[in-house]
Amino acid sequence: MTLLDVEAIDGYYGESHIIQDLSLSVDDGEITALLGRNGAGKTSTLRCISGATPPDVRSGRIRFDGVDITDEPPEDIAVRGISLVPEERRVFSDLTVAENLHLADTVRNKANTLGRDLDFRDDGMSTSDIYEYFPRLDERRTQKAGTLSGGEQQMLAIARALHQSTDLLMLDEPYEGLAPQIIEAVENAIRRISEAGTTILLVEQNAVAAMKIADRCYVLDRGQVVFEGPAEELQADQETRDKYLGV
Amino acid sequence: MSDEPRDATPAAASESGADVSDGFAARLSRFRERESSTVLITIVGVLVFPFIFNNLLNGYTQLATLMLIWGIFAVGFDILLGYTGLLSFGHAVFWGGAAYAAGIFSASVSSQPLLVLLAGTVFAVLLAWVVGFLSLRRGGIYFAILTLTFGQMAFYLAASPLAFLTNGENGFTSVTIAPLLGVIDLHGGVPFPLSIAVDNMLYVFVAVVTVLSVAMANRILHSPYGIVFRAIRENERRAEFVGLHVWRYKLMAFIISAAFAGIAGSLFAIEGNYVPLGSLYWTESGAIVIMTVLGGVGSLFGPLFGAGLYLYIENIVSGFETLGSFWHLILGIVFVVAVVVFPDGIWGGIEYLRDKVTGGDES
Repeated sequence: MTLLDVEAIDGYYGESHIIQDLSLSVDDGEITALLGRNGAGKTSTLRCISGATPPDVRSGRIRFDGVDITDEPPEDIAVRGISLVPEERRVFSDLTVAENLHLADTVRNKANTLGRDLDFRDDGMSTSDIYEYFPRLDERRTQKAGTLSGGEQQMLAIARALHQSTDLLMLDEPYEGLAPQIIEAVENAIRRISEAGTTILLVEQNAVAAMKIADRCYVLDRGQVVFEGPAEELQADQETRDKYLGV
Repeated sequence: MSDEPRDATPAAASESGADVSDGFAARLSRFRERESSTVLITIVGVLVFPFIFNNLLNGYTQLATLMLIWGIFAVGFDILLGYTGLLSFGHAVFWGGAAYAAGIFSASVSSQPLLVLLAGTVFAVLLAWVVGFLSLRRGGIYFAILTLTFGQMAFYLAASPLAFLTNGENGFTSVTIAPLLGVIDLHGGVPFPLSIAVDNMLYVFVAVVTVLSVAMANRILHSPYGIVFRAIRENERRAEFVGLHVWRYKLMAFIISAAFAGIAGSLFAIEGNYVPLGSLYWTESGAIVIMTVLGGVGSLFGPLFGAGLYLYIENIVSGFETLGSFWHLILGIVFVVAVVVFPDGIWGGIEYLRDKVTGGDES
């Protein structure tokens, strides 16, 4: 079943047309990877989905779980169950680990959606499950998030999203700037989250690492989709890999 | 905030229990975290303060009362400036507005101090709803200028078009205050056990309101609202992406800070039995910013110290021979030195010294 359906969107930064007639769909429960070189439009695509402006979506539709979310503001889209974990500085560094997680409770609180006619599909992962998933965070509950290592901050950002009833977790460059052994830990976390039923859309420059965990891949170039298919197919397609990914 | 973080503290403390100074630091930090400790510290503070102030610092009780009143204003202002990161340059409109509302209410409806206080505060809250709704459309400097504009509009309104209500430039002189609860004369003396510390009933009344205000601010800052405010201060965009309705929380912070300004403004009218037109002037908006920054933005107690120091220089130092006439200059120098040496204000300095003594703070 299709959870997210992006249909022929055109995105602009001012007058520059950076997303061109881009379509993609993400199936429920899968890990989908958006790959491509720097400037290919990967992050911009995530921004379009999450409701950020710019880019300005001038045509095309984005549907999530059957609902048209193209023109909704980011805070409403987040409440619908799409979480974006942006590149770098993903957490509130002045707040402690527990307080960062606690923000999700506030968002989930019914009172905060009043007048917005929005509802949560489920309750999100409980705090105790989160701490079991991420024992490092458990040890650092009262520590300011800004004092965590890059990998721990990434974990915390993912944990916060999970705590908030996320159906689609969008990760922008989750491996960037992390040491190899930390990449492995983040990778495992992503796998477990996926097994627990959360759909994942991942943007990554590190194509090799992304192909390892993805079910389906899209390769972007200059704002257009140049390849789509199962990860194994991309693994085998040396021509596309050479031309667009350089691996 | 949830009780989760606190579970971890005793475990950490018992591990390091052997080390005496470490144990002391841990015990101190646990003491600080409890709400009852905050209230207790405030009660002790307001009880001891007039004694020290009057006997050692050349002060007098009326000024001590005024310091607490401005302190309440500053504590509320810090919720907006220090915790949410919004600089309002028009809070005099809530301070003076509440003072006028309280004064007019006392003259024409009821002169019961508690009702007068309530009337002024409610007026400030309603006014903040409107002013905040309009000003918060824009961020940063535009917000500061918009609030300043509303503040000045109120000043000119009170000065002439509404002079039939406010008595224009003469200020509102018909404030009448009845005894508290019908029996306690606010301008009278204090019964025995309390009279060791304080000599004036009005101070006791203001002190009780101060303690309640600090307790309320503490509660707000430790609630989910407080966490959201700090998240917004750090990064508004990110807070939006988390799913928070940022604009609404900013409006809430604005209204909460105005409520404190309203409490303080009403007390100001009750204390002075008079509302000067100057209470709406933009310099009052500037004073509250200076007090808050001087005391330490983003701290609960800091603004109380800032308000105290500001008024001390304005009222006591200005009375010194030769030096006195330069009190504005002295205030400026104190401000610059405080900000350069302790960017987190007086409270930042106190915390720094405390950490030196207790060997650092783990949080």
